[in-house]
Amino acid sequence: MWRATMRHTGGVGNASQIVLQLDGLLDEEAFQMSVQTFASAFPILNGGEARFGSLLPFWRMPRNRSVPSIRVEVHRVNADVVFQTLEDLVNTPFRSKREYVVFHLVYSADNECLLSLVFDHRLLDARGAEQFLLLLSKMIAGTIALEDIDAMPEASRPHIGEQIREGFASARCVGETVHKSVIGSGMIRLDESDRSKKNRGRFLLHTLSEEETKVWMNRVDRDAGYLMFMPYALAAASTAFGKIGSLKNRSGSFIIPSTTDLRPQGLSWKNTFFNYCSIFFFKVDSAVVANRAELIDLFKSQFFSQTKSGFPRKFERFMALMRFLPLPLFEWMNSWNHASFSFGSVGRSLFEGETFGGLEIKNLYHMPLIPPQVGLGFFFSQINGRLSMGISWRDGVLGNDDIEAVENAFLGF
Amino acid sequence: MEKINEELKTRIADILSIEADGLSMDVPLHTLGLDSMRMVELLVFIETHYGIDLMASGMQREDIASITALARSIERMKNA
Repeated sequence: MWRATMRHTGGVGNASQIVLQLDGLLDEEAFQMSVQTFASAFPILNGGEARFGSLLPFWRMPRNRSVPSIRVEVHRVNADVVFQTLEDLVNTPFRSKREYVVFHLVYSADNECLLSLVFDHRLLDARGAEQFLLLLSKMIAGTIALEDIDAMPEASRPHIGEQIREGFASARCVGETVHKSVIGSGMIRLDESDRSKKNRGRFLLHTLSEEETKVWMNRVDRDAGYLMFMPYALAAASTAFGKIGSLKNRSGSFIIPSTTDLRPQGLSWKNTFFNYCSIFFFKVDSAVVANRAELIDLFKSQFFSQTKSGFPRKFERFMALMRFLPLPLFEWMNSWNHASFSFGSVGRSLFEGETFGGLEIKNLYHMPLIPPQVGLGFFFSQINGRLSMGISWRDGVLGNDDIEAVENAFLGF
Repeated sequence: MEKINEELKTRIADILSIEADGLSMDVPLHTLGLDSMRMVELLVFIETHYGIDLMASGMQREDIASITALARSIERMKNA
């Protein structure tokens, strides 16, 4: 529900972008036609959030039967401004309150193009957006028929009374975890002196080669353990955060909300729309950052204890109670800075081994806008044996020296 | 060890929300679909069910990398 309030506060932090770098050129006209055919299968695109008074937001399906459409924009740019173009696209507000997805085709060279999907988080989370794009890919390839697409969520949500009971039942676990992690923490955060002036997301994207990824993953195995990518990457991100010039001599804690996808494993089109993410809350004393082994162990230990207590799922249930808060109160709660930086990972991309429109996928990037209150975020994805790291920050909070220091610290961890 | 094998297989299938019958016992766990969070869910199960803290055990990857290897390690630690 908190995503529903972000749209009202200006857009930054409520939209993200997935970019496919394709080895070849998509036919513009054919793609436009495919997208409009595809859109017709999703009446959910004509829906929107609604409320009972100022409470209980829900998704209202469209009453009329107009066929949904999705905007496709085409950009022809020089190669040296491709990245700037991608930044501009994700920072461009949607044209209306009822527009939730936009496609962009970016042509900059004779032999490749970029396909971008900008999406509103009220309708899709990162994994859902990949599924949405994969559905389109399969439709274009002819491996799935439009009439066979059933992407509507199961209508088996618990009754509202049960949601309230589950929410209260989860409150103690949530309260204890948040209390340990956040309250009285002396949280270190980025300088907000310029907060009111700039509300634009900036990005750095770095994809490791297959060999570099193997080296990095071997370090994960050696220093954190088998399948311990998340605590290792958190430790690396914390170390990198500590290299920011303005933070170097500060003492206090790093508070890091880290999103996790609660979808069952395996692909189900019914899990495409809406959000399936919950959160871990990690807290690290800034003094520990200097000790690499201790830092990794601290993240592993908190990861284990929060998983054992069932925190991510209980947090999700607890958040259902937020639906009963009056909207102005909820917006006020969202306005305080509750993190040093944010962290997320979608793991292995659904496009592993896939093509799009018959073209090989050279790379896939996630470019999430982070809420302005947080100011900085790290995001990871993997495709075809290559790890991609994304750093996003609110324009103005990091200088070029800081960005370079953060990137180098992370890659060299 | 057969019992531990079956218990692990059932629990991993539950974590991944898939049928246990389709799970291979000797392939690396990450190929079954386990990621960091789901691996930790499995470690939580092992601690609560067998009383073994694998995270602190200092085990190497080959000791825990497949369902069979994991079962063998658990049995060894239980009997130690």
